[in-house]
Amino acid sequence: MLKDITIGQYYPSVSFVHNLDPRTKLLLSFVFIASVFIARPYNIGYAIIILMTGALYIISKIPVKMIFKGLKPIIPIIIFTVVINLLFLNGEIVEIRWIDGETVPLRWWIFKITYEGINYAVTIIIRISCLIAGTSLLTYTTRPMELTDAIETLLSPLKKIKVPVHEFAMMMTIALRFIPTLIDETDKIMSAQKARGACLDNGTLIQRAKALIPILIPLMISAFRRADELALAMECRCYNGGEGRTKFKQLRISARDMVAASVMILFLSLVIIVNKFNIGWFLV
Amino acid sequence: MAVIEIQNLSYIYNPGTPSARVALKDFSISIEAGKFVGIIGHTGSGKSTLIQHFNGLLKPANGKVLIDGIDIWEDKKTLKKLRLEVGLVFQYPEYQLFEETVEKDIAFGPLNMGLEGEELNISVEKAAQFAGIDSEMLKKSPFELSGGQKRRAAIAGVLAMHPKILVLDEPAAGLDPVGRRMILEQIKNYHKEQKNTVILVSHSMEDIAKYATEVLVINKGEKLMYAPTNDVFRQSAKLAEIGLALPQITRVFHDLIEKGYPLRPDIYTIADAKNEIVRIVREKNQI
Repeated sequence: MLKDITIGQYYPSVSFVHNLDPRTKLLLSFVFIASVFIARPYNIGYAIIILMTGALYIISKIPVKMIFKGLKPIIPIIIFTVVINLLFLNGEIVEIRWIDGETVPLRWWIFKITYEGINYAVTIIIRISCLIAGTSLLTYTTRPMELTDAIETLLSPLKKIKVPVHEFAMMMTIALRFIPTLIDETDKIMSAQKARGACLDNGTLIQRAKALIPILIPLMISAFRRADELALAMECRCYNGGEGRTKFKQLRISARDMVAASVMILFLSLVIIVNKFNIGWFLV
Repeated sequence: MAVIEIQNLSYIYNPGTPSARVALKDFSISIEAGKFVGIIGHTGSGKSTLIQHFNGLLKPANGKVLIDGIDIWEDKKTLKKLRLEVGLVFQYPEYQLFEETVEKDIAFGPLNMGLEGEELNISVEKAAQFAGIDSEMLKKSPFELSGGQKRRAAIAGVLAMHPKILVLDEPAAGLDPVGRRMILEQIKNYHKEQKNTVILVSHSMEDIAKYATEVLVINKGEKLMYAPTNDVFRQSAKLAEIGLALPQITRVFHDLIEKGYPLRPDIYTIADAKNEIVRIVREKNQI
């Protein structure tokens, strides 16, 4: 059950995208996010965005079904926002024309369906889906350690104003590193308490909340124990922060990164141009 | 009658992903009531996966699990009841303690079974007694106890449910020799007194030789042998083939036999070894 969470997961494979420098991938993800926000549904901008997302998955050799797996947990959020926008947004109310020529506006009590609402709902579905799919690609193709390394290097100028960049990066690395461990641990504790007759999946809301206590307390205790052990182990190996610490894996920008950056900048420009001149509006 | 019957069971971890792994394949076994069964096998051989099928924590991909002749996956309602009949003690069970006092923690299982009042108190007290927990310890927080005491408290939590079948996954792992012997002796006494079925997973051949009446050897998700303890250890070549060693004392005896001492090769416990040595010393003295 807990193993179904794909956000933040790494998908091992060998591809052009996997081999990119993590800094490039991180920065280009922002370019991608910007493009998604710039594109508008009134022209072919969204078609370009969707095609690009699909193309990125294919280049990364990640099965397209992973997109849907990643979207699954946020489907309720999407449905909620879509329904709210569809029913409440102000604007020109949609009218349905019956066969006898009579027109009926789609409104009932405080609900109404407007053209703006429909438009906005479609925008939201595409925007959120592409955002999640595109940004998941970053973690699918980048190991957590590489990612924190990238963040650390990119933020290192902030060290000048005494921001503990290395410490933040280390904290993130550790947090990411322990997600699978804690998931495993939760699974184990759940099994153990189930074996003692704990009932986790039925009862009233209060009963269910209470049923979590036998799982959360051991989990917290083990998290603290692990933290303690890890701190000791790090101290034993003379860890004392970022000062003078060298890196095992040096990040290097290669021609590959240049190609990727050019492609993404081209993509961003395309989206901006399409948006500016409203290209393809007649198709939609 | 067989209390646990497994028919052609297969189990796959993470099916349909790149990390899919077959943990058990076409596994069948029938365990008679009242036995003390030891399970041995390498890390990753499928021991833990197998025992989690005994009480329905894992659902087999293929095959059947019958407890007392009832297929546990046939009806979801019976599953919970059957789960309570099979007491499963996981590896490092002390990490599942959570209550304010040891007493409350031991009562967690029986409470879930619906025990109340006097009945509850008796079952908690008896379980604590079997696990060697005194009344002073019962009132303490489980987090104040030592490692060995925590382990015993956690085992008591399962014993308090009076399982018909008690399954223990490495109950003595990581304890010192005294703590080890204490826990295993307590399990043995419990088995003797309650006449229930005990299944013990262990890496220690010495412990298996000492306590188990039957041994199940698992290798790479398949059953290699299931026979009385002595019969299994007699097949030392077969065990060596999959990288399992005989008990230390047996190896010592085999070396002595090679050196020309007229000893029996089928000695698996220290107690037997002592008797055997006494025997040959006596024989020598008579001559």
